[in-house]
Amino acid sequence: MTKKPNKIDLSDYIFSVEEFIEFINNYLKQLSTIKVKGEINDVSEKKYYAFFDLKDSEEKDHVVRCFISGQNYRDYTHLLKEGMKVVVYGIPNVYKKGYFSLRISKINPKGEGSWKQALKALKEKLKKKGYFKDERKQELPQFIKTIGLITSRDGAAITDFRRNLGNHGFKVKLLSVKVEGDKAEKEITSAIKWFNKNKPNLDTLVLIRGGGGYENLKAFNSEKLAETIVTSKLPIITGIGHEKDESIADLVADRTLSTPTAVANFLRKRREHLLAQIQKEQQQLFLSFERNIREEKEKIETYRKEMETAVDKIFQKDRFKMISLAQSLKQSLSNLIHSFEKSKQKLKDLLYGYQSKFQNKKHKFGIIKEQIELKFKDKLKEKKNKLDLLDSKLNSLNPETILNRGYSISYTEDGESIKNTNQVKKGDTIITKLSKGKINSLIKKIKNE
Amino acid sequence: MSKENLQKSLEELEKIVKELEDEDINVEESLRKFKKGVSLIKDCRSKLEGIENDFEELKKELEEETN
Repeated sequence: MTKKPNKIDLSDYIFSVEEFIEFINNYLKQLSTIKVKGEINDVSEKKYYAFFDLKDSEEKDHVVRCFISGQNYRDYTHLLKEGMKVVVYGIPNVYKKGYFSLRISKINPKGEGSWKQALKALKEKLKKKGYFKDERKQELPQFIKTIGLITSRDGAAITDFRRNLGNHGFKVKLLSVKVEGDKAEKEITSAIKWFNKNKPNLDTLVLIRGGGGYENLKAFNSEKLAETIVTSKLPIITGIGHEKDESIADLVADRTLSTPTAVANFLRKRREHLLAQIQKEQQQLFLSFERNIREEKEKIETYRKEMETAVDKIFQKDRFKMISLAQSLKQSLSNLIHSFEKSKQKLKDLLYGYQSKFQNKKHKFGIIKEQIELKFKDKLKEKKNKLDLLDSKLNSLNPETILNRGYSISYTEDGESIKNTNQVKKGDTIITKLSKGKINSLIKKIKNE
Repeated sequence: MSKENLQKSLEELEKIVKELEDEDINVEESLRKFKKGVSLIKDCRSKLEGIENDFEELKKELEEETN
């Protein structure tokens, strides 16, 4: 099949060699990537690049020189085996030294045999890198609850997985991917990267698919997927149904189970076990807590008893002292009471003494009083009598009482009582006082006897 | 008023009575003395009465105190 390049009129133009090679290369570039199938021969590997020949078969003479370098070389180095049937992807190119080659960008094994051989080689390669070593693999977290599930929404795998997972509070986030075909590898690696970037708190990733032949499992045997799994920060569990050998994904995964159902059972049992363990530990915790409390109680009780004993001892020590103190206190108190009683009696006696003395005095006083009274009364009576006597005497001596008997007294005008005639003369007026009233008389005659 | 005063008054009264018993005494003098004697008697009686009252009062006070 010949694709005709644009017709340019070069009949008059003469190239230099360099111009010519450049011209040819520019022309070849327009072909872009082309695929050629064949057997690998004459491999010459250097550090960063390799050359090999591609032939239709060993017997045929036609040869295409191939050149591979850089990342491409590192990716496909395991396929560069003599006799390996492959399809190479590359761009044709002429070197300045004049020979023609294909610059290879991709190599795929061709046919089951080659695939198996390639797979074996890839496994060897990855093994050398240490990808399969258990030390490299991540421990699954003890508590798995949130799961990032990578599988096809339409496959049987997801049904099996969900059915067997049971209802234990798992939270499953699904990213549906193609699990076979050309896009599978890209979608699966993208899903792993997406979960790592956007759901970094998930407990684990689960990558599953149902069974299939080696062709169908191509994506799971890819070196790129292996790299992605190895670099994933989230642990990855695989459950890829297959007949015999494990896929590379299985070999690099942190945990590998044979089928989606097995993964589900594993997770479920782990969780059940965990729940049971938690319950058991909870019980043990309670038991040990109770035991601790009991022990503490016993300790406290012991302390209490010890304390009581200690206090008792202290009391015992001071007890006799206290008893004797109490007794002497009692004794002195009773002494005090006794002496008080005595004093009281004394005081009483004294008071009785005073009282009787007082009574005596009072009695004496009464007598004296009566005597005084009597004496006084006598004296008074005496005076009275005397007075009465004097009074009667005086009355009897009242000169005017004589008048009552008819006597009278005569006075001169000067008020002198007339006892002698010489006191008056004829013609004098005399005043005669009677018992009642007075008489003025003129003297007519005087007789001297 | 004192006991001495009463005593004096009684003595004076006694003297007056004696003087009045003397027959030599003239009427005017006797009447004067008599009047003096009467006033002394009145005076003595009232004195005696006062003393008696005082005594009774004191006696009463004393009895009240003693009881």
